[in-house]
Amino acid sequence: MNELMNVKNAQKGDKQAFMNLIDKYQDDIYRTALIYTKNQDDALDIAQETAFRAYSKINSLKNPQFFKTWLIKITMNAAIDLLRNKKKVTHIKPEYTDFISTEDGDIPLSMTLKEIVNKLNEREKSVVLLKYYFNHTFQEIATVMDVPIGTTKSILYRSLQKMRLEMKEDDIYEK
Amino acid sequence: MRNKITEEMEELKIPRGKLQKRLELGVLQAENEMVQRKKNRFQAPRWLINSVASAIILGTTWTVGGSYIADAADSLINQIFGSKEQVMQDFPGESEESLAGLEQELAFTEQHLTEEEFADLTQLAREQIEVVHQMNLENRSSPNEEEEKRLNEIQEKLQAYVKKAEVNE
Repeated sequence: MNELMNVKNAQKGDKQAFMNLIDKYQDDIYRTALIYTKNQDDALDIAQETAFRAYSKINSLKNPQFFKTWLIKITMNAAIDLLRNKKKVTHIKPEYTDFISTEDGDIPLSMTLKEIVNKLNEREKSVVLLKYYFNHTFQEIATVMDVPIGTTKSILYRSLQKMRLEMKEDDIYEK
Repeated sequence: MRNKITEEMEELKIPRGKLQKRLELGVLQAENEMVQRKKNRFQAPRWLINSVASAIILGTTWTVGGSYIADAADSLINQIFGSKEQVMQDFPGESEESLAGLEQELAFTEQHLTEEEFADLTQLAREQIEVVHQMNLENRSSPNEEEEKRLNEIQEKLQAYVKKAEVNE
């Protein structure tokens, strides 16, 4: 069954259709969450919260063709909410700053991800992930984050500066 | 840059079994909450359900457990209807949980309607409660013809507002 059909059926209350959708994007949900939280336990919490929010609100999705974008936005918001709540209680443990925990043990992050995880704030992570991992245009990123296009470009520029990477002209002047 | 990030992201290992369980748990939680919401819906008196059921009283959108409603003076029920005691008096037998559902629904509509629309909605809800209050004062168990006509008009408008709020969500 195609994705559009699954979304429409899920909106009618078809749980299996929803599970098909969430299964399809579970890796994206988990990996996105991991970039924000830096540890597996919190990333799993966010995955659960994402499933909860998405299933509860599936009827509010007006354009079923944007299901993936909508789902990733929920994931990012859930991650940011979790981090905010944690900040009220405790600081992120220093040992998590260089490593991401996996079920096989802790492994060092690859270079670029390490830069993203350690140097960027939540908004910057969102823009970089949406741009380079989810291949969104600036217009799409602006819609997801509810900010002007110019702001998304500034955030990306600042992020790349922090990561000591140069932004290509194509990145700025893309359509 | 794009390829590099994508490659590195895809190298991150997925705890497949745990992730699957947590996603299922999230959906299960959502299902349970939906069932709970239905249970907590504000139940209108039978005559009201049969004839002039109110969108506001019936609660078609959003309810939670009883802890939501506060005795605080700034609760929406207090602001609109004077006090929750007043509502309880006009709708005897209704529980605190039911009123929590009403409070939550008012908050939901306030959030998703314009200020003007919400003001109109609250005025209509107030008028509706006033009719019920009048019936109670006169020991009547059902509205008269004129009241029923007006209650039907109010009901139609309230339902339209609730639907609009749901669309705007």
